[in-house]
Order: sequence, then structure tokens, then C-alpha cells
Amino acid sequence: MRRPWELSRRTFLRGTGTLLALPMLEAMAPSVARAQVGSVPPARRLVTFFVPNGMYMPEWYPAASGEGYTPGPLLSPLAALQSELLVLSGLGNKPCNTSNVDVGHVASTSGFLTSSAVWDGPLRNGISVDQVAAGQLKQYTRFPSLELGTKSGTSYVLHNNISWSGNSTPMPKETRPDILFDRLFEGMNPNENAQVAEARRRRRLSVLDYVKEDSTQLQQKLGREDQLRMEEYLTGVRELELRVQQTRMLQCSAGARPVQPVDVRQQVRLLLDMMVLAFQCDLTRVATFMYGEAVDESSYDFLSVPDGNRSVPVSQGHHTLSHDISPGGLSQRMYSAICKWEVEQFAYLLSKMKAVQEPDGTLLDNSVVLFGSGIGESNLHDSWNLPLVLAGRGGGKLRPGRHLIYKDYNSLTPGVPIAKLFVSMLNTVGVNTTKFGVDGDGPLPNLT
Amino acid sequence: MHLTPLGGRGDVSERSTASRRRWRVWAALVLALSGCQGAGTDPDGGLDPNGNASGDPSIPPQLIRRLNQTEYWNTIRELLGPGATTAQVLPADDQVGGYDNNAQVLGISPVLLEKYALAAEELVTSTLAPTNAQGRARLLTCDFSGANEEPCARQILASFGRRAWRRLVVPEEVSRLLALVKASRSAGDAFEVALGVGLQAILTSPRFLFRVELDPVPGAPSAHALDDFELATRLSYFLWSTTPDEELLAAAEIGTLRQAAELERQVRRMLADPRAQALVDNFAGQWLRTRQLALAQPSPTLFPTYASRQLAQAMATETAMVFAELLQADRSILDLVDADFTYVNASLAAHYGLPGSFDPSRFTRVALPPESQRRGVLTHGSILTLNATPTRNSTVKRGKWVLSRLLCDEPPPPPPSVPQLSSGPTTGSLRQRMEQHVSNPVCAACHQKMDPIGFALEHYDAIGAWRAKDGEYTIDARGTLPDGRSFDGALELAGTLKEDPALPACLVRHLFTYALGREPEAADQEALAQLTQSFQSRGHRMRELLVQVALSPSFRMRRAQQEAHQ
Repeated sequence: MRRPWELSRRTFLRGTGTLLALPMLEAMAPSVARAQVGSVPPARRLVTFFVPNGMYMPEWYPAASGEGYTPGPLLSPLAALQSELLVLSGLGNKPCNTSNVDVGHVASTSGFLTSSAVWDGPLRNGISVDQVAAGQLKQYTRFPSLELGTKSGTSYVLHNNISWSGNSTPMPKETRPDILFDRLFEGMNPNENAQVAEARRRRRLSVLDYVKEDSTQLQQKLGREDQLRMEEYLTGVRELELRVQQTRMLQCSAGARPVQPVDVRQQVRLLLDMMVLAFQCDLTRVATFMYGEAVDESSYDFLSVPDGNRSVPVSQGHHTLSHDISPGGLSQRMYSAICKWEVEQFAYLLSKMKAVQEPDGTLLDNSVVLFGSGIGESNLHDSWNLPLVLAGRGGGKLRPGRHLIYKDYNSLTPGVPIAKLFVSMLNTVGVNTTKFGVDGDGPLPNLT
Repeated sequence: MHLTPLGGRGDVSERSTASRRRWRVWAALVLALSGCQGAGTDPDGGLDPNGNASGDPSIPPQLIRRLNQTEYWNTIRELLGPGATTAQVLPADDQVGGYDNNAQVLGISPVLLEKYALAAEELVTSTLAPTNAQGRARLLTCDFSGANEEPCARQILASFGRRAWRRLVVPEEVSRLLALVKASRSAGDAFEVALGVGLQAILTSPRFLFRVELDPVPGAPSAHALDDFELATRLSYFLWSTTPDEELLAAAEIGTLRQAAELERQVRRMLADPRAQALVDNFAGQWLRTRQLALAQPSPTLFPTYASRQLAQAMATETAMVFAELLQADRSILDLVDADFTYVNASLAAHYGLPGSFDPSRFTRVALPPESQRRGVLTHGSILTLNATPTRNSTVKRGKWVLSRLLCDEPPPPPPSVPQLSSGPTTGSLRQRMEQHVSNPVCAACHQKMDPIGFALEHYDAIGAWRAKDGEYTIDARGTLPDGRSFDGALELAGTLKEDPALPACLVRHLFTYALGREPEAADQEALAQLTQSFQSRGHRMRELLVQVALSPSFRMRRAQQEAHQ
């Protein structure tokens, strides 16, 4: 028996007369979206995939630059996708070094996508690249952006967030694929009586209308900082209001509601599945995936490395291992095993995106997907030479299949600003800007 | 001086009409002037016995803050009863300084707003569902048949609004809410559904989701007393992590709560209420970090009993129960570090090697004999496991925990380019390897403080089990702090810590942080010193400290954000 959420496209179309009602309901859609009808640019997506605790760099860098390079051990999971991606070496995050919090663990994580100094007391950070993209691309989709991750809350705010709104507010992550599914497809149950759905929409809009007025009144009586908080509240209300008003049909089959994962491996896969589904259904065009958190001390008992003639599980904590990297030692090999597993998860995402065919190429062709960590060499907490992979063709604006070296990555000197890469990524998805963060003063050369 | 208008009935909740605003401007002006006189001479540092401002104590401005997840669900349960349900799952709140009620992280992002709004819809609908007799009885408190409908709706909205917004809801506000109900009715909804729209609006409003505190004069330079309802709200979220009960609201409504005597009476009443367990779960659980125990991952290969005996939960419970006893029995809270009793179930007793038979689930209070090698929180499995890596105990993490949580002397993070201790093939005991490691002068300054503390706990492994040896090596549990104080083993360390004047001062600092939802600033030093002084003079009893914090001007007053603040 089908569960309520197992909807095929056909079921949707068979629905409850929704299809016939479409033109009228479309007229209720927000004016911005309406203005785009007829001149809608092709869908382009921006994705970032963060991993904590750096990489074991001696096994990261390819031996040669340009095309036809041989990937090192850590990039080997991406070998089949080599023609779909760029390995970017010698880029760094300089602004995070001017933070008032610990750089190596804290600022290099929360500042990874902001290219800004990070402050605590009061909390200050720049806007992250995904949120800049969302600001423009949200006009086309139901959700401005998705923030996914494997850990939520329960730790220091600057350990735990890579996505930041313009008001120094972290964007909380969804960590459960089943809950995310419910959110994505909320109110889209075609078995529901249309009148019932319409009545609910009416009531929701009246509640939102009320709180909008209420909070505007309240805002006038607040101090400046509090007013900013109330502005955030209002942003949320307006976004939800648009969502409630939108009644556009799903462009896809929602498929089955995922289960609640039993371990982190399943959690990662299901969350990435949901991300791809959300793109497929054009529910959003921007997503961040934060695997783990800064100073992540998770153990990886499901991985093992050879030790003499036996195999031992990776039971020591990730962060501890990342600081015990004498070449060839057991700990280093365990650390590398974790790094490689992380790259495998990224490869999984890319393969899924590549398998989705769109009118003008694959989903991967129409995206820019960044993989990276806030630091490179883990003992040095090196934020000047980051391990980065940029996958996808950005709708033909990128020329993948190469290893690009922007400066000597073996020297501890500031890399070319990663902020320039963010300028390029934004340009690729149609955000017309020449600046990002503190030191992004133009696009990154040589990507096309 | 006496200023009834500020504290009087009705005025405290009503901020919208012009005449009252004029009142406030005038009153604040008087307050500001009187502040100049009173500062420095008032023994209570800014409040007279009636709870009105009589000085301008040093209090930094405070941010408006959202109810955190714990507070939200507690509040919903109080308002709607146990039958209210929702499928919404809120993302866990982040922390600053180890606390998830810190105002810095309690803003509201769009995804949170969305979840709160949808939760309100589901919660209200489920409470008013025909199958939820209890929920209906709780909300539908009047006859809404025929012509009674409108007055009944008005009455429900006013009384529910008062509880949810933690202040009086003025007639104009009720009318606006009622307009929602009427519109829904006209569109053909049943009364309960239409009423639900009004209730949803109340639960989606920022007046519910945020703890709103208003300034009589926006941007006024001097601190002012909170109004009675704002004070009731601070008090109930501090002591109970939930919304004020009827008694507290009633005291706020008649305007007596701000009076020191009444405030103290209320605090003592609240501490005797079962809801004060929130202090154990939310304050102690975050101060001591035992909440984080759920995230610990001791290697199942090396420490199979951790999972098989379900020790994580048992360990957290042990620490919570010891803290709770000290709080309830009104003993010195400093006994936490060397308490000669604890609470165990059968699993934990087996883990500790305590003789006797114990209930598998119920926790029993036990006196700790010297041979148990257990005494005080430093020997609790919780703290020892929390501060370990998955495969071994961690001298550094244990030392760091004591410094940051008990002595408020957290060392800075290690400088870049310093390898951590190898977990690989061993040469020497953990202690010997540590000592080599910190011979590096860059590391020495901090490790000289951390490591001796950790060394004293060497007899406890990564999940807190007692061990006579570290593998093949004899354990040397002696430690000497940079100032010369020395100890041998956990029990002597506990004695040393208990004598340390930094311990009570640190607890005051942590409780202050929790009570106010912000980390102390330079401006708070005087207030902290006074609280520490009174804590000491009252025998370090936790309950007295809670009373003193609630009575302090820092808790009862606020300062407006300056307009130019950026």
C-alpha cells in the first residue's frame, strides 16, 4: 500500500482538479515570480559541501596541474568524475585570521563561506555565499535555500554553522531527511480535498497577516538591535506567506518519504538524496551541506585500516587523529581513511546529480558544487591553502577536468582569496556581482 | 521616592495609547533625575524596597530573545496541556559559553519562523480536536452558543493571550484577534476552527515567541526597573524554564512582584515547586556539560560495557541527582566537589564496583566508603567520560573542564603548529608522554595549569572506571599547580578545589550567565563581586544564591539599547 507521501507525477495530475485551477492560482503567485514568466533564465544551482578538520594534504594534491592529472589517494573516489570537476589549489581564507575567536577551529569554519572576520560577543559574521545566491534565486522557487547537515545545535554556535544571513544570524540546519521531506512537500497532498486546502490557506494567510502587523507595531517600540531581530522575524513571515500563496505544481515525483536514519552513513546519503530531489523538483536552487562540525571528534568504527596483518577500526576521534599525522603512522592512516570517506560522500552527491537529466544537460552540468574544508593542513590549522574541488559546468560557464594551481600551496603564505571563487560561483548562477566578503574583489581567473 | 504609575495595575501591560506613553516619558524623566542622586548611596545599587529604580547601576543592554527549544515546549505544555501535538521538529539551539539560552543565539531565522508557525497550527488544532476532551475543556472555558459566541471568544482570547504573552492583553488587541475569528467564521468555519485562528495568531506572534522587554523611553541612558510582568517572565524562565504560573501573573498584575519582599517570597515558593527541576536539567546539565554526554562515543571495542550497561544515561542521572539533593536540602553547593554520597542504579554500581544489590532502573542513594575511590563530581563517570577521547582518558580535557567549568580560568586554544598527543604506539605511560609533550615552552604556560589536575584523575579510564595501572605502567596521580598547591589523586584534588576561592566566584559567574542569558561583561564585575560575597556569607547554599541573583539589580533592571549602537 502506498503511504500518503508516495506520490507519482500522474497522481498529482489526476489530483483534485488542481491542474485546471492552475492558471488562476498562478495569478496569486508573488509578483516577482510573475514578472519573470516568459523570460525565466534556465535553472542554475549553487551547492557547498563542507567537511571539518581539514584534509591530509600530502595525499590530497594531484601530482600535476592542468588536464590529465593523476588524482592522489584522497581524490581517487572522484576519478570517474574527473572530467566534471576542477581541483583548485592555493586558495585561502585570509579574513578569518582577523577574527576575535580562535581561527583554526572556530573562525575558519563559521567564516568558511563568508570570507569575513568572525566575532563573538556580540556575534558578528558576514553573509555567506549561499545566502547571497539565495537572495536572488529565491524568486524562482518555493524555498530560498536549504541548509542541511549531520549535526544540529548542542554546541558552540561558531562551531556549528557555515550558512549565515546578512544579519549575523546563523541559518539552522535540517539534520533529519524525513523531517526535511515533510517540509519540502508540506501541503502538497493531492488526496486532500481542494476546499479543505484552500480554507487552510486562507486561515494561514490571515494569521500571517496579523502577526506581520503585530510585529511591525512592536518593532517601533524596540531598540536598534532588537529591531534587527524583529526584521528577521518579518523576513521569515514574508517568506512563509509567499510559500503559502504559491500553488504551482510540483515538477517531479516526490517519491517515498525517507526513513529516520539509524547511523551517520545513512543520514548523509538520505540528506543528499533529498537535496537532489529538491533540485529536481525545482523547490530550491541553493543548498549547503555541513558534514559534522568544527573540531568534530566523531569516531568512525565503520571504517578500518590495515595494521600489520590485521584490520583495525577507526575508533579514535576525528579531531584527535587530525593532529596526529606523522606520515605512515597508524593515526595518519586512520585520518586519511576518514578524509577519503568524506570525498566518497561528495562523489555520491555528484553521481546523483549527474544522473538527473534536464532539458539542457544534466543537473550537474547546470550547477556549481563546491567541496572543501575551512583548513588544509590540520596541525597548522592552515587557512591559507584550502582543499577545494569545484564540480559542475555552471550551465557551460566553467571548463572542468583540470587541476588549477593559484599559488605555491606548499608555502605558508596567503592564498589567492577564496572570496574570488565565490564571486565566480555567484556570477555563474546569475548573480551579477564583482565583490564578495572582505577580499573578493573580482572573479577567479582561469575557470572557463 | 515612590512611583505607583509605573507599577500600578493595568499600566504595566499597556504601551500603546498616547496618554500612557506620556506617563512613561514623565516617569522615566523622574527616574533618570533621581538616578543621579541615588547612584552610589543606595545599598541595593539601584532599587528601593518597592522595587522602583533609585539609582543607575552598571547594567549592559540586553537583546530581545526567542524562547529556546526547551522553553518553548515547556511553555506549550503549560498552555495547552499534554494532548497538544505537532509533527514539527525544531532544530536544536546553538550555544554560547555552553548555554543554549544565550540571547546572542536566540534570533529567529526563516526556517524557525516557519516551524513555529506550522507548529502553532497543529498544536491548536490538536488541542481543540473533538477527541481531545481535556484540551477542549482547558481552552473552551465559556458557553459559546448563539449570542454568547462573541463575548465568549473575547474572553478566551483575553485569558489565553494573557498567559501566552505573559502580560495583560488590552481590549484593542483582543478586538484585533477577535476580528480574525470573525473573518474565519464568516468564511464558513466552525467556531472552534475560527477560535483556533485567533489562538494560532497568539502563538505565532513575536510577543509569544520572544521574551519582550520594552523601554519606557527608548534609548534612555539610565537603567530602569523591569515592569512586573517582565520580571515575572524573567523569573519563571530562570527558575522553571517555562512560562509564569497564575500566582506569578497575579502578583505581577496587582503590581507587588517588584517589591523585594514579595519577590523573595515568590522565588522561594518557585524553588519548592517541582518545576524547579529545570535548574538541574538546564542549568546544572549545561554548567557541568553533562548534557554533552549523549554525544560521547567511547570505542565499543575497548569499552563494551558503556553501551551494554547503558551507562551514558545512568551517569548523567547520577550527577543530576547529586546536584538536586544539594539544591533541595539547601546544603553548600561546594559539596558537589567532595560529596561523600552519590546515586546509582545497578549498572552504575557495577561499573563503580560498589558492593550490594541495586535496582536496575531506580537510583539509590549510597554513602561512599573510602575504598570506593569515589567522592564528588570529579569522580563521577559523567565528567570523566565527557572529558576523554573515544579510546583513552584525556589529561588535558579533564584539566580544561575543571578550569573552565569550576574555576572560570579557561586556557586559550593551543597555538597553531603544535601536534597533539600521539595515540599511536606508546613509549611510556600517558603521563610520561604528556610530560614530554609539554616540555615545549609554548605549551607549558597553559599545560602547567591543566595537566596536574588531569594527572590527579589518572586512576579513572576513558569511561570513568577505576584502574590500578595504566596498561603496564604504574599510575602516578600526584599533581602540583604552578602556585605550589599539590595533591595526590582525585580525593585530594577535590579537597584543594573546594578551598579555592575561584570556585564559588565561578559558580556565581555561571549562574549569572544562565539567569540573564548573556555572558558577564566588564560592567558586571561589581554585581558579580557582591553576589559572590553574599553567597559566601550564606554558607554557599545554592538556594540562597538563586534568591540573591533574582533580587539583584542586574536581574530586575534593564538598560535601553542606545540608538547609535551598531
